[in-house]
Amino acid sequence: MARTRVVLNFPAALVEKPVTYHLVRDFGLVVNILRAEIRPGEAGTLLFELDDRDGQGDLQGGLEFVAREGVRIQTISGRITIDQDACLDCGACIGPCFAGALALDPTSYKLLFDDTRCVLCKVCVEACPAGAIKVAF
Amino acid sequence: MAVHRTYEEINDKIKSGKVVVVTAEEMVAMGMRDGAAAAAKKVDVVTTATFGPMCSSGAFLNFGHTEPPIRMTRVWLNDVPAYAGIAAVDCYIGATEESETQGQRYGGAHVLQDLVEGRTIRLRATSPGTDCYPRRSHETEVTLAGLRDATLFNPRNCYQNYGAAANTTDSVLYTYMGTLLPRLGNVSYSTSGQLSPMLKDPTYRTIGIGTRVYLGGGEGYVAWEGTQHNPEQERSAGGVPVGGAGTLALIGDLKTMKPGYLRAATFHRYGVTLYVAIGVAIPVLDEDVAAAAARPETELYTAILDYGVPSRNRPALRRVSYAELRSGSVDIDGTEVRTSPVSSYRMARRIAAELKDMIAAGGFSLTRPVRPLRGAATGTGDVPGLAAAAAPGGAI
Ligand code: SF4
Ligand code: SF4
Repeated sequence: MARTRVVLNFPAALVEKPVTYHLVRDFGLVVNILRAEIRPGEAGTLLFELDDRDGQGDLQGGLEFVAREGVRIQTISGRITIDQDACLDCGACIGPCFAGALALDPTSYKLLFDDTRCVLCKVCVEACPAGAIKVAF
Repeated sequence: MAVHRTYEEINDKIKSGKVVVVTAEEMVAMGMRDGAAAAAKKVDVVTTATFGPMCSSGAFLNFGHTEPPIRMTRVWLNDVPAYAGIAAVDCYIGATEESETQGQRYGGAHVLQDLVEGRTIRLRATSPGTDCYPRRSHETEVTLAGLRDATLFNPRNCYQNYGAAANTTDSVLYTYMGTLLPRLGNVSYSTSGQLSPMLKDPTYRTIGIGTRVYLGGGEGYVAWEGTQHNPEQERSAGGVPVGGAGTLALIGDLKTMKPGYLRAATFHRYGVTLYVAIGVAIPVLDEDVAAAAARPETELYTAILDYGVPSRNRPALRRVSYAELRSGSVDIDGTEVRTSPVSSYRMARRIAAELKDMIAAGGFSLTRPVRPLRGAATGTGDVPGLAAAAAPGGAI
């Protein structure tokens, strides 16, 4: 199953284009909008999760289509970065992560980050007392 | 036969390399496997540790005299104000004091961490000038090695137990217990549970004034009861408090401390604090001491407090064991709520293991308290001030 998360940066002129509609209908993708910052008339940012339903959809084709439309694509694997030297393994970031992407390893008590669950809400960035979590956009 | 050991016997064993020392985590496992009485026979010393945010921390620094001399009345270290209302070139830099230029991003705790990590700090001082101290301002760079004296003195560390935190309101709370999501989104707890020094010596049988501790990776001592020391807290079986109770004032030479063992932190919209590494060795004087040190997290309790109520007496939502808190979720009124600590169990484990290794290698001997903490049990069965120990599961 191919699943990928992408950030789409829309120029102002494209904000009202039905991009998701085409991704679903023409490319057979499941589109999950994780976060949207779109102000009509201005540029916008969408955080998508695209799922090709075990190869039934055309992920590559969908992304190429979006790019042809003039939307800038950034794939977002590893968007949240945790500085291992700064991290105290205190756990203060775990409770506030409602997506369940952060946990302590039950034997080593080191922080574990599962980026496939991360929805980039950034709550952990503020919650980390050591300033160890950064988001790179 | 009942076990009795003296400090002298234990120290002789440490000296001769024959001491049996385990961490509190290992002691819990031994207790479960063989029973606390068997563990008491085998084990001489149990090491405990904690590494959590401890706001009530700071250091006395002495800069040495300048030429011509100055009587500093105001002092800044990297733009963080330090208290200078003591003698000419002395000051106290408190962990939570914030920089006048960087705010919450840099504070007294960062100054302490930077000093220990060998970085240079900019010292600024002013004075009205006196006949004997004519100089009116002074600006220079200082390092820990170049300071005349640097004494860590933390008025309140090592809370014996601490309430866990949750939030029943509709908005996020940013607290010194971390970020608390609205409508009981999560529970945050402090203390290192089964490794926590004062939970493993709940009636202060061995920890007292003068106890040598492993502080910030160096040598320290218990100077006094910590501020807010409260031995009268309600207690469950074995005299273990079910909420904030005893505290310790700790003192040690900052120059002996190691990078990584004092770590500055900023809790969002709360402010700056210092994570302090503390290791305490408990001499197994008798079976009672052993039983307390072997007590598992299923028998160590605290209360989940509602930080949504802006009161000194926050209402308790329920009593909870550290085993439940550590499991990752607890049930509150039928809802599973995610739990996470704010103190580092990984670091606590490492500190306890290092202290164990030092003792095994003969590098750390134990001290008999010069005076017990207020509310200490005497070891003869009576527990002054602790007599009304409640059964577990009772009212919070
Ligand atoms: S950004 Fe949000 S979802 Fe991702 S790890 Fe942080 S808190 Fe969890
Ligand atoms: S809150 Fe920060 S320091 Fe603590 S475990 Fe998470 S990333 Fe590490």
